[in-house]
Amino acid sequence: MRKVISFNMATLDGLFAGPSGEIDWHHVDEEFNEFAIAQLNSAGGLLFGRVTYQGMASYWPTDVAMKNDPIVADKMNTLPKIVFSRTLERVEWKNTRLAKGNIAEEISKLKQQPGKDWLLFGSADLASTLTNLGLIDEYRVMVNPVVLGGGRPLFKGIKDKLYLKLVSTKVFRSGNVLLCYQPDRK
Amino acid sequence: MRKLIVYNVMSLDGYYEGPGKDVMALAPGLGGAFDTYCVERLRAADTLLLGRVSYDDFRSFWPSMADDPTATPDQREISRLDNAIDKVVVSDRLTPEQTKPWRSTTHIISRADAHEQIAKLRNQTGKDILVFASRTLWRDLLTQGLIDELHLMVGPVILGAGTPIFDGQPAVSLQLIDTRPWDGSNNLRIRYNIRHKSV
Repeated sequence: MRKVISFNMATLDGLFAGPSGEIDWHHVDEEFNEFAIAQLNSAGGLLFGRVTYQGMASYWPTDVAMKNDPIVADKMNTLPKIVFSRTLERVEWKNTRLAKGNIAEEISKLKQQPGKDWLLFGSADLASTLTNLGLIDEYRVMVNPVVLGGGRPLFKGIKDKLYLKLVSTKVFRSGNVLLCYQPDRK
Repeated sequence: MRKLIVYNVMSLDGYYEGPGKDVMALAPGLGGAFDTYCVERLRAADTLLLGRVSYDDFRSFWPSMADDPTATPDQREISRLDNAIDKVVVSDRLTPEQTKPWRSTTHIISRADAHEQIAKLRNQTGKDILVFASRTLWRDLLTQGLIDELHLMVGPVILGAGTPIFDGQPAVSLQLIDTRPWDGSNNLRIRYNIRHKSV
């Protein structure tokens, strides 16, 4: 059975974006790109909520992305993607499927299929829905050495506090710290 | 000049305590790593700088733990170190009568004098000045450029709600020093140097 793994850049104060969605605080360098590529290479597909999907879909297929980040752009464009939305009417990004049905059923079906793990990027609302359903198998949080003091929380709408097992950590030269956890449901 | 070090716990989602000031929300995951590191920091310090609330919390809990047979060795050591160390409390209301049994090792400074007194303390030679808990106090010191290092024990829990450890954006930049895991523990201690941004 494959896993659903969430990955996010976060500030030290637990935010994934500033009040207006700002992500200009991301510490991104060569080492981060190597990590991002390795993570994408290990993925069977990508899961998105609508907002993150629209942000990604408006960037990765562009000539700018292909020029600046050719390897990541190629992976992002070719990997299978599922976007969960009740309001989107169609999706145009390559290899994307729009899912309007029951999220729990969709994810459970996906997990039962053989293959590589699926990644959930950003998508805070979807992530909290999946967290409350107990459907996320691993949380990867890249803590940037930044305090924004206000903005969009990475984990919101969490019904019950969730205890975790620390699986691994990695320090990046930029000052980022990657923390990887699995839920500890005893 | 010596270092002023802040040591605090937080959840993965940046909370200092759970809803309703529930400090125990973080506790189940913390285990021994938290106490072990507390001993280490206290041994490197000769001054414990506290806000009123944390001072009262500690004074009502730690003094007798040194002789408590149910306490862990680390807890007994924290108690001995807490009892012996010089404690500086920032408070306008605390009176010497309210400092028992720490009266002889407690020095009270008023809020109006706090910045100047703490800056003076920090300019002296000596071991570290340690701030533990005391969130209101250290967030103010952070904006004053009086904190050298921030040591955070990131507990293995997503609380989803509670008291945020940061409130507003301090005009500082953080520089990662290192991280440290503990065997058999799900905590990670992350340490940052604080650089004050010149205005």
